[in-house]
Amino acid sequence: MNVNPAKLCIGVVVRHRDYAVAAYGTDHSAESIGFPDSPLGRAALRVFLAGQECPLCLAIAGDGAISVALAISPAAHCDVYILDASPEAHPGRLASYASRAL
Amino acid sequence: MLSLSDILLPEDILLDLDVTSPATLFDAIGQNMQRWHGLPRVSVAEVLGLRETLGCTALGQGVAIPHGRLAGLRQTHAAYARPRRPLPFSAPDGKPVTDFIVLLVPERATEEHLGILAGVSSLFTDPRFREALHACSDPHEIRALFRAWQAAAA
Repeated sequence: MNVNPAKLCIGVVVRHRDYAVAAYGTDHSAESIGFPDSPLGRAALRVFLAGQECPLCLAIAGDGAISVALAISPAAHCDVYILDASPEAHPGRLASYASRAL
Repeated sequence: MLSLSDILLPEDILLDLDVTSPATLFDAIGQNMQRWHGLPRVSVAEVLGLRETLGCTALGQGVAIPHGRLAGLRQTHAAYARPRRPLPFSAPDGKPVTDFIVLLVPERATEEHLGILAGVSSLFTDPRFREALHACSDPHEIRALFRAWQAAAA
C-alpha cells in the first residue's frame, strides 16, 4: 500500500450532537477534536478544508455521513470515503485508513 | 488543546473599526499585528486576502474566520475585530459580518488550527454568547468573556 506523505487525511465520526474530527498528516498525530453539529460547525469544517492546498482525503462514518460529506467537502482535490463504523469509532483511525487508500 | 482564549490578547481585540471592505479590514489587522507582534503588515494582509480567493471564510450568523499561514511564524496569533458597520462578506446566509475571528497560523499547525476553529464554532453557535459578546464594549471585557465561556465548555 502507498501512503502519500503530502496528503492531509481527515477522519470524521458523526455522533449524536457533534462531529469528532481528527487530522492525520505527516506528523501522524490524530487527536480527536469536537465540532458542534450546527450550521456554524459544518461551515467551520468546510472553510478549513477549502483552505488546504494539499490533496485531501476525508473519511466519514456515522448517521448522516453522506449529508455531512456533501456539506463540508471541497469541490476539488478531495477524495471522500463514507465508511460503516460504530459511533464509538475514533476519527483518528478513520483518517489513518484514508491515508492508506489508493 | 490550544483554544482561542489562550492566545487572544487585549491588544488584538479591535472594536469600532472603520473599515469598508475586506481589503481595508485585512490592512487594519496587518497594521495591528505589525505594531504588537512585529509581523510584516503587508504579508499579513496578503495571506488573509489570498485565503479568501480559495473560498469565503464567512460562517453565517454574522461571523467570519479569515485566516492564513505565514511562513516563519512560530506560534499562532489571533485577533477579534468588530467593524463599526456590519461588513458585506459573501456569507452563506447573506448576512453581513459583525464578528471577525482572525487567525495567523504557522505552516505546520493543523491540529492547533482545527482545535481553535472547533472552539470558535462552538461558542458562536450559542446565541447567548453572541449576545453577550455584542454587549461588551471593552477589549478586556471581551477577552474575559471568551475565557469564561471556553473554560465553562471544557
